[in-house]
Amino acid sequence: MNLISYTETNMSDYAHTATGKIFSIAIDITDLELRVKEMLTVALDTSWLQPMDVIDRMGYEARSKRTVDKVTNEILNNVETDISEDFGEYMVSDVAQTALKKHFYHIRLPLAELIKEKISGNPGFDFHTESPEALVAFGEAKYSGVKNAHGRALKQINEFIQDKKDIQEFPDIRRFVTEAAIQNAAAGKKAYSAAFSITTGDVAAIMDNALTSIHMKTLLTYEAVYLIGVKVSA
Amino acid sequence: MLKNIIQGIGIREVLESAIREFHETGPINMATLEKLSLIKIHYPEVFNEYEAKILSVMGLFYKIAEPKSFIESVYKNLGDTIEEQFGKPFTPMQASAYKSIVSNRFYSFSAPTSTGKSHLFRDLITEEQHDIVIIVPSRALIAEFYSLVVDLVGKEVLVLQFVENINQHHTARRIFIITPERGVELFKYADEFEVGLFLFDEAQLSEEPIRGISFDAFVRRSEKLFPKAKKVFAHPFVSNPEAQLSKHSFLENSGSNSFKQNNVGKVYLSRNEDGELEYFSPFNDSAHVKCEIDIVESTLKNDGTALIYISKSKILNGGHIEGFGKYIALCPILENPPAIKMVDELTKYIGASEGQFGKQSSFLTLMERGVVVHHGSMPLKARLLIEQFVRDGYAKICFATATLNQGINMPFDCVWIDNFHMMKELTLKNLIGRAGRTTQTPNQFDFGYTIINKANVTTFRSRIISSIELDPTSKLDDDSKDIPDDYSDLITAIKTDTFNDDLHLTDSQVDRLKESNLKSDVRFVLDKLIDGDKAIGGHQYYEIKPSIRKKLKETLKKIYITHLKRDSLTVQEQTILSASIPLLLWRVQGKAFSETLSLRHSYLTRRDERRALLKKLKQKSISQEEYNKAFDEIKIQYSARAESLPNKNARAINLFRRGAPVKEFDYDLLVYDTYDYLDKVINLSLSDPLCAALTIYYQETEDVRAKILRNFIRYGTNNEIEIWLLKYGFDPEDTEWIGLYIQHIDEQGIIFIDNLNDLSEDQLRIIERYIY
Repeated sequence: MNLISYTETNMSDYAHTATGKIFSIAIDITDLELRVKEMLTVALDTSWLQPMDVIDRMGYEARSKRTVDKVTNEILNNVETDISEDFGEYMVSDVAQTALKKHFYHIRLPLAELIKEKISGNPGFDFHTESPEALVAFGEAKYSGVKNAHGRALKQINEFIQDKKDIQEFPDIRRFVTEAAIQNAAAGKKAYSAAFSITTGDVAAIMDNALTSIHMKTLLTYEAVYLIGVKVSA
Repeated sequence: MLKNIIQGIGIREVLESAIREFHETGPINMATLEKLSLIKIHYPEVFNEYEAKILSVMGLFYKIAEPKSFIESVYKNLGDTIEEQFGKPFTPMQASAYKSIVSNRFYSFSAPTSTGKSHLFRDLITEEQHDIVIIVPSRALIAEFYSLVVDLVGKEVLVLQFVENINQHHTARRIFIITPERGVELFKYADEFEVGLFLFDEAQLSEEPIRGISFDAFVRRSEKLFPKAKKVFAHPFVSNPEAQLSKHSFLENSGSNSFKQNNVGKVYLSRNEDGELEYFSPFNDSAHVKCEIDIVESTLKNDGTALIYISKSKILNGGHIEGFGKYIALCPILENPPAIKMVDELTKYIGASEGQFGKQSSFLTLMERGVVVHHGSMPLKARLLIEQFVRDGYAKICFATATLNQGINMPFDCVWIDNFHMMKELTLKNLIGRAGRTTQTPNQFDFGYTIINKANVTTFRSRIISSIELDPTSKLDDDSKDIPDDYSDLITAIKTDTFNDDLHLTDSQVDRLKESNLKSDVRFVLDKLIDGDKAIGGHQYYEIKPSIRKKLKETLKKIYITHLKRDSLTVQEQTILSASIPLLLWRVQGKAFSETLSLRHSYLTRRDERRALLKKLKQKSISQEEYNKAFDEIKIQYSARAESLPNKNARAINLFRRGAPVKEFDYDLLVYDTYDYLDKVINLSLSDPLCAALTIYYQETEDVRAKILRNFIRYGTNNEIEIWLLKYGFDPEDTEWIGLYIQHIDEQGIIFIDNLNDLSEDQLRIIERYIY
């Protein structure tokens, strides 16, 4: 995966009293097929069938090839089916976490072990990381094969905040984060990550749309917002 | 929890987390399956959005249609991988067990009801190259396995419900389906049979006090005499299946698994005395929630089926009809010809008749509406027919006792536990296991209802969550302090390997018979009962002077008592034994079951007295009023209810209410009791000691009449062809007509006469397996 763009914006540009920052990055994926394969492997590794020792791995990989081809083709050709959407959302979430780790030195939290969350559709945030500033970042990933998904990701974050999902998840998160992050979160100091797929060619324009989205408004009271756009090119 | 789900609060979260949970751990949590079932009942449309995913992560590959989500694709691929690797569409449980069986010599496993054990067995049976011995706890299960196995294998495979070395000319391999008690016969053929697989189904039989000892002894002998054969033990709900192996030191090359995956969801309802239903969860303290509809009623109206677990005494006194009449009324009279044919067959078998006095059978009347009764005193042939009737989908309601639970694999949409008396954990789990029919319908999550009486909720809760453990030591290695006196011979013989396989008695019992000098007694019996090479007929028997007839009965009793450790019977035991002697004699005379019933019916309802009275009325020597009055005063004869012997606690209760008039005669009771006499008293109690005494007498005197009488007692015939036919597994009721079409029969095979044209289709089907 390649970093296409990186921008930092002060929230005060949009709200006078705000003190936090908005980080926008766009990522290009060039190893889609490998990622699909990986996810199928992860699916087996986390399944109850694995310890039963009844799955011949080579056989499973061979069987999975059809699924890999199907999903890869659908995503590359912007055909949206339930199967490619399921995978796409997993992929966006995974890429976002990898990017947060690589470019912002976040720690990935095992709480929402990807596969388990994404395969079922998760009633809460999709992923969680901790920033070097000891902030817990609550992440939401959205994928669409046919339209840009930033709006849906940001909207969902707002809804979850309204439903206090982040507060409900906190007891589980405590086990994985530093003491400082616990203190910060308790004091209301938090970050949010919106990860979304980009289908149109003009990546810069989409990243800008995300930044100026009406759903950003309520997020400006927090410490940080990460906007992560994901484009698939091969 | 219950209330929220029923009100639809947070159900999507429940569904989503269930998918995640099942993906990680498999469908092992009954509480989760309960929640899913409740959602499906109350919010079927929401449930349907998740249904395919749920079935996928449950590993029910055969229910997954074209995958529509990523996780469904994953599980479709996993299922395809298993199918490719094993060559069969196994579930993960089946694949795991199969793999362990193939790679080990000893394997013991447990898996809940309805998880496809019989499918697995089917594959083992078809693939095995050598002889197979399948051990099951009951004759009903023998029959069930038998019908499964004969459909699987060709005619070159001999399938028998007992051990015989027959049809040798045509037999490539053999499959014996037997109880451990019948198993002793097997060891006579240790040099002739090449057993590749012993399959011990419902192996928790090892826990029963007396039979467990026979079972374990059989297991050890099978290993000693057939050391190369695989031994597989299967259980429904056991947390430590490995105990079955460790207690016999089957450690090397062994494996075990306790599978907990369920394929079907269950919901639980309690019922108060007013018939009001409430949902409750046995897995948490959720408040009960009122159920607005009568689940049994709606199940029946929607073409579903209900099992009502009830006490035998309630069935015998008609409590099932009184208490559940409302539901019986919902079952219309059957119009399907095959179903009607089965009812007719059963009517003929028991000789019931609408028009004849006292011969109306209430269980047949119920069966005409698709309502069946199933318990241990139901004649085996009737029970098998009823089970087939249920399997073929004609039964809407089944009233059953613990007998059904002894492993007959028939699921129902709804299981109502009316009788909680002496409820063992395993029985309970098996019952709940019957709730919910597993279908092959794609994308359909199956579930069932369990209904219990409100008073039993607390006990139910504690039993459903408790685990069932096998004793890690064999009863063979225990001190046998708790063994009743009458069984101590058997236990000692099994432990010391001093059981006489030929005479079916222990060496000590055989010694008693030998030492008691019964020669003159046996000769007396033979003189009276055998005429040339035949048993005397009914007329000849009644021509014997009453005093001699009495002596005959006393002599038979004496021979029976001799094999016992004690030298006398209780008064009650004697009463039961006396009542059985005429039935034994009818058997010797080759009477069919319906004839035996008819004879007892005449005796108990005082037919002669009734006829004489009628004659008087017809001759006008009494008025109708006098007739009616006299008729009402005719009482049913006393007859002690059948019980197995010896049994010091036998009570010899009157079969009918004391002083009951004949017009209260209950034909069903007669059928059940007569079967109990033939089965429990004659076959299981009298036959072996009497036959042993006759064999010993023959060895001492070479008096062939002893052999003849032995054949009559054991087989109900002395006709050599008919005896061979019985050894070939034909029903005693069929041997007579089949005998007419036999050109030659021996251990090598059967040669039928050339022209079988006048046989009906049904008859041809019966002999078809042996026509080459």
